[in-house]
Amino acid sequence: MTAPSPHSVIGTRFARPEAAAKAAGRVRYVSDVEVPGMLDASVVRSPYPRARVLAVDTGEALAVPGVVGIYFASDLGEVH
Amino acid sequence: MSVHLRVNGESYEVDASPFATLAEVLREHCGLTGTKVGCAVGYCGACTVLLDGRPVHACCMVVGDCVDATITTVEGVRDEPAGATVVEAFARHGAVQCGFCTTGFVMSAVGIPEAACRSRGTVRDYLVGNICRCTGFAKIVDAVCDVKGVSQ
Repeated sequence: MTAPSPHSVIGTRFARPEAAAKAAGRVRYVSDVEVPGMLDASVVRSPYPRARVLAVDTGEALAVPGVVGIYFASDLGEVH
Repeated sequence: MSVHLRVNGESYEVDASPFATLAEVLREHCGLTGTKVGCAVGYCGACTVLLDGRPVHACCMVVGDCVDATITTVEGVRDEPAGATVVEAFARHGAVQCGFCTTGFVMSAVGIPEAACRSRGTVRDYLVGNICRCTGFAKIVDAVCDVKGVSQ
């Protein structure tokens, strides 16, 4: 039988390398990032569990001051 | 409207509505993003901060009610009596997975009154306002029991 390598970590305790930074709140998550010109976005889903979306009237939403745009899956091309 | 806050020993004068949530003001006006917003309705506890030493859900506090208080976020936790010990215990016990809920748990743990914990069950009771969706609760309770001197 081969002797265990002195470099093996199997069976030993080790600290997660990122644990201290996470516990101290020093890790940045996506929601912590701010870039110039960043806008807020909100996903709107169908309120009906089983239905076909035939049309969406965006008129009232677009009229709200500050609304920059409303996008649909079809605007994403092949991405989705 | 101008709101004056005292956070981690520093004064902040922010232009915010007094009805804005404390969590929003801490993150977006004070730049203290260690306080996380998970559910934003007071279930998950990721936003826990200390208000005059007492853990509160910052997403459910309006900032206008916090103007006379001393606020501590995770960025200032090392200046709290048990702060550094708690942070180190979480790291040592591997009580951290994705880490999003961790700072909330750390603040709740730091806010547990001195000598209040007699058992693992008491520790669990004090952490009832915090949820870990990675479900790593056992190691979190281990870490807090360690700090509080509760035998495992």
